[in-house]
Amino acid sequence: MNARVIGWIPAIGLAVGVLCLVPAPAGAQTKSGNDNKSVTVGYGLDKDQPFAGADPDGTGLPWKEPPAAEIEAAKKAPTPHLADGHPDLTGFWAPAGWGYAVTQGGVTADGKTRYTQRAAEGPAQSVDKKRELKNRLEGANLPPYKPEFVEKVKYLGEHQSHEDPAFKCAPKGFPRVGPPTEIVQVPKETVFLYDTVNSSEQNAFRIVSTDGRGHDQSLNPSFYGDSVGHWEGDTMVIDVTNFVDDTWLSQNGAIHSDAMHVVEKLTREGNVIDWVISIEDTKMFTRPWVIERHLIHGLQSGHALEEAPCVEHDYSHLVNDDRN
Amino acid sequence: MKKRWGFCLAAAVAAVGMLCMASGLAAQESGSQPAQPAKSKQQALPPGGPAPRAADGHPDLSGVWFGGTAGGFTYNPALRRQFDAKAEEAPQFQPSAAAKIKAMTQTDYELGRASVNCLPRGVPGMFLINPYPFQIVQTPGLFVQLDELNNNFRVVHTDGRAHNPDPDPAFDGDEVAHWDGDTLVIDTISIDERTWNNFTGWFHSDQEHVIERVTRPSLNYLTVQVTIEDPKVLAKPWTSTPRVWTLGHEDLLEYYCTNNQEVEQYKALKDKESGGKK
Amino acid sequence: MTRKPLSALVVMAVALVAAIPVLAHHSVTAEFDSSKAFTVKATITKIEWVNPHTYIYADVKDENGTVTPYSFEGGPPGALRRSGVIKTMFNVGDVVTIEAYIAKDGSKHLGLLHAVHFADGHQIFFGRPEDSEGKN
Repeated sequence: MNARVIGWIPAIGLAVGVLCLVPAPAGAQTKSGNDNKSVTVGYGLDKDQPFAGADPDGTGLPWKEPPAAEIEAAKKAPTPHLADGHPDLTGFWAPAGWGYAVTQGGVTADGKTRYTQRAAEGPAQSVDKKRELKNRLEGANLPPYKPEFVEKVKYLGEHQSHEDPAFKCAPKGFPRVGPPTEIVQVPKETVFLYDTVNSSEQNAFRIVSTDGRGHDQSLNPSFYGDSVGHWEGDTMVIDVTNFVDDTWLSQNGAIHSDAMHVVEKLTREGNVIDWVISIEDTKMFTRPWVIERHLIHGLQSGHALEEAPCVEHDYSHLVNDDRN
Repeated sequence: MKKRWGFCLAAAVAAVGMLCMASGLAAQESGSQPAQPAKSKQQALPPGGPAPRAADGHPDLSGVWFGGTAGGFTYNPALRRQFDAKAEEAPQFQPSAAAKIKAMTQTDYELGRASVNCLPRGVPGMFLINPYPFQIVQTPGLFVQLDELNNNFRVVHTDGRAHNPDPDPAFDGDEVAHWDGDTLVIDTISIDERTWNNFTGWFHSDQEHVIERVTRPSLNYLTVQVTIEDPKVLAKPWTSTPRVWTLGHEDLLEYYCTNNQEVEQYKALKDKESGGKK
Repeated sequence: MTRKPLSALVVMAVALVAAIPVLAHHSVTAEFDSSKAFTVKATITKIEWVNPHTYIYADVKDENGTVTPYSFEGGPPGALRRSGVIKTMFNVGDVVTIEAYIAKDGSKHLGLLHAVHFADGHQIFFGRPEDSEGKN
C-alpha cells in the first residue's frame, strides 16, 4: 500500500528483487462466483497484484486513475442489477489506487530474513521527491480558490507536516477519504465502507439514504456530512451537506468553509464505477472543483482491511517541513 | 495552529464528560440512578410480530438497534437494561489474571474505554459493553455491522467458511459465521489484545475465542448471547445471558473520537496517580 | 512457487514507479537521518501498533546495569502488513538487537527502525537488502 517514489533504475531492480523473493500467491486469480472470466482484475488488498495509477488531471490527490486499457477491459463484464432495475453498486472497489500495490515485502528461502523493501530516505529529501511534491502543488486540476485564499493554502500545503489536522489524528472526513473501498447496497440505502488508509477514523462508513428523504436540518455538522441519494437513470447521485469546516480536502493544505456542498455521482458499467465528485464552496471557491476517477471491481472476497487506531507521537520531534 | 488548543480543551472537556457519562452508566448497572432530564414517555417495545425474513429464509437481522427495550435512546434505567445481571454468571479468572485486574485503578478503567482512548470497542465489546446503537445490514452471504461508537464497522461472511489460517490480530478479529437454524453464529479469533470485555479490566489473551449468537425473535427485538473462551485468562469458558436490543427508527449519528490527540495528558494523569512510577 | 511472466515484471516495475506515497503523515526526513545508524541490544517492553507509526519500546541495559528505555518507530500497520510484517512477529520480552536511524532533533533514545535481529537468528529488515550493507 505504501509504495515509495523511487527512480526508474532502482525500481526495476526492486521489481526484480521482489519477484525473486516474493512467492507467487496461491489462488491469486480466484474467480469463485465472478461472472467475468476474461478480465484479470486483481485489486485485492491481500493479493500480490500490481496496480499502476496516476493523477492524470493534476489534482495532487493520492486516489489513482487506473490505466485506460484496464478500465475498458473491466467495463466489458456484465453489469449486475438490483431488483428495481438500477445497477447494483455492491462490491469491493479497491481504494482506487491509494497505493494498494504489490506487496513489496520479501522473505529469503530459508525463511529467516524478512525485508519490507521500503527504500531508505537518506539524510535529506531527494531531488526527485522534492520535484514530485512541487508537481503536486502545480497540477492542472487544483482546487479553484478565490484569490484571497491562495496564499494561505500554499502556506498550509508547504507546512503540511505541522499544519495538517489529519497528522494529529483528526479524521480526514469526506471527501478527503476518497472513493469508497466497498459498497453494500440494499433497497433503501447504500452503505459506503472505507479503509481510510492510516487515518485516525480507522474504518469509516457512510450511510446514504435512497428512500427519497431530504436532508435532516437538525443534524450537527459532521466530518462525513449528511448524504441523501437518488437515481438519475443509471447514475446514483448523492447530495452531501452539513460538514464541519476544519478538515482538509487534500494533503496540500486544501481548506474549505462550512458552505461546502458535494455532489457525488456513481455510474456502474460492467466491473467499473465511474466516480465523480463536484465540490462547491461558495465562500472559498470560484467554481466547483470536479474530480473524476474510475474504480475497478476487486476480487470477490476482498474487503477493507481493518485499519489501526491513531496515536500521535512525532509532532514534538519534527525538525523541518519535509513532506511525505 | 490555534485549533490545537481548542481541540485540547474540547478533548479535556469531552474526557471529563465521558468520564461522567461512563461512571453514570457504570452506576446504572450497579443499580443507582443518574440524573435524568424531563420525564420519558418511552416504554418497553412490544414484540411487534414475527421477524422479517430474508430471501433465503433466515431472519433478516437488518435494522438500527438500541440497547435495552425502548427502541431508542433513553435515560430510563429500566428501559436501558439489556440483561438480568443477577442471572448472568461472573467470569472466573485465572489467578494471574485476577491479580492483574485487582491491581487496576479507576483511572486504568477509564483509560481502557473505547470512548476515552479512541480505540475500537472490537469483538465482543460491541455487543457486551456498548451503550450506543449500531446498524445491521444483512445481505445474502454478508452480515455488516455499522457501529455508531467510533464509526467503525465489521463485515462478516455468513457462508460457513473457515477462519483465515494465518490471521493478523484485529479489533474485530478474524470472524466467520454460519446459520444455525434461525441463529447467526459468529465465530471470532485473533482479536487485538487491546480490547476489553467489560468496563473493569477484563483483558484477554491471544487465545481468546468468541462466539456470538445473534437472533431476532420478533420484529422489534434482537438478542445476542456471547461465549468467551480464553484458557490463559479465564479458568473456564464464560457465557452471557441473552442481551437485548430493540429496533430503532432513527439513523445513526456520526461519532468520531478525537481524544487520542492528548495521549500525553492521559499518561500524565496516570503517572500522577501512581506517584510517578509506571 | 511459480515465476511470474515477463509482462508482469514490466507492469510491476511501472506500478512501483508510478505509485506515489500516500502515507497520511510527515516525511521520514523531517524526523530521522537514514544515513546514520546506531545499534543496541534491548529487551522489548511494549509494542504499540498504531497509525501513523507503529512503535516498539525496548529497554537497553549498559555495562553497568543501567537500564534506559528506548522508542523505535516503524511504518504504519497497514503498510507493514502489506509488506509481510505483522504485530505478532514481535513480543514483549524478546531480547533483540535493534539497528535504527538517529533522530534529527538529538533525541538519543529514539530511532527509526531499520532492523530487528532476534536471538534465534531470524531478522526483520524495515527496508531493502541493499540498504543494509555496511550501514552501521
